[in-house]
Amino acid sequence: MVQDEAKLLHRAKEGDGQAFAGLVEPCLDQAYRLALRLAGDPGEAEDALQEALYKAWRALPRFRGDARFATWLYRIVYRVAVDRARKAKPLPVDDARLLDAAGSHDPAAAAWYDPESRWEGVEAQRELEAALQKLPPSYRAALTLYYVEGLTVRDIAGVLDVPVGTVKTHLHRARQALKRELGKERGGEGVWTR
Amino acid sequence: MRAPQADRLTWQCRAADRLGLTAEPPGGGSRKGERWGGLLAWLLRRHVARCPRCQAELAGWRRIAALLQASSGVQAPAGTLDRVMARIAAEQDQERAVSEGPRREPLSLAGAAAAWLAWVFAVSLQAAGALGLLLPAFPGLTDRVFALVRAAFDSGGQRVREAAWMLQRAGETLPPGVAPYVEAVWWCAAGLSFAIGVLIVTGGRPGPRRE
Repeated sequence: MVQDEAKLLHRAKEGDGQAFAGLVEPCLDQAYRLALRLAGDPGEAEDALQEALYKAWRALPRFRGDARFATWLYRIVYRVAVDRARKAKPLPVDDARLLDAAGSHDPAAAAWYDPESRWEGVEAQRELEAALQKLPPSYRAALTLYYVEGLTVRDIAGVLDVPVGTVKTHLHRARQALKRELGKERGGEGVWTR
Repeated sequence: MRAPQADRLTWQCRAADRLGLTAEPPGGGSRKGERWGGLLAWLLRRHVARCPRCQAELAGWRRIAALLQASSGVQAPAGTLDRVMARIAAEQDQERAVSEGPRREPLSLAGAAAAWLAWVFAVSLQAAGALGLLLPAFPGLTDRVFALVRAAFDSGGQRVREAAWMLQRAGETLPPGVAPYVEAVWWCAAGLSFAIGVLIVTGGRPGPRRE
């Protein structure tokens, strides 16, 4: 742990709000992006982030410092966002179907790449987001933390509170499920054929 | 190793997919210290480098990763942290006001402790009486207390009077050697009830506490 972080943590644990803000600020945007990916809506993501930050403040005396503060904060954001989503509406995914699809090389997802196509821009972003929103939260979180935030598998395991091996499985299944969903988004014509 | 045919899914392709070798993020693949090592990984990397299907997979994932990373510039809405800090500050002010106000916990604890000590003293006297040490000094103490209780209950309803009578009867039917011990237990229970009562009546508010 960086010494500055340790000092801030010590002060924050004693009730120094400014020290807590100093701890949160460097990872605030990352935490918001994780909440946004899980909530799928900016307003809901902001509410989830605020709730998570408040919970982090209340739980700070129990933080032992085993993990980085950022990892610990992401874990709270993840739990809060998932809980809120669960309370708000049923998950829009059939986990069993996705897991079945992830276990095999689905023909629908097989022809997903065409090097001649230029699948990019706003439309591609929209299709990708739509496909991502159909994945279970743990898959979405794993993909976001791995590809966007650049966290290591070990750190992601800390955030999701699962073993390292489970994160690797999550990533593999998430990729398979995303390929399948992307294939459907494109009406079976292949993700890149445009 | 033979050159793989295009679009043909081999066991190496499956293994490379499984290990994430065909889905490594751009800019050097897996993070330092997380790269798969060993002969199998080396063979699979070699396969990925030569296999058109795995190259297509890799290119596809790099494009997806790039699209995902396009969101890495998204920032938390302005004022998010300020709003949380304002809430925390308001809560701290409230807790401070509570902690600076009159605290009743020490009083209630002292009262309960005093009541408990008084009753322990009384029970000790009764125990001593049971052993015949202080009996001459406090003859019939319990009887007199029962008489007082009965007198108080006399103004009450029939059921209360009956209860008091039954209590006295129960005391009279006890063997002579056992009665003092039962009295001691009775006093002890009464003392505990009294101490709990004092604690409840004078019970203060909980102090500032964080989860």
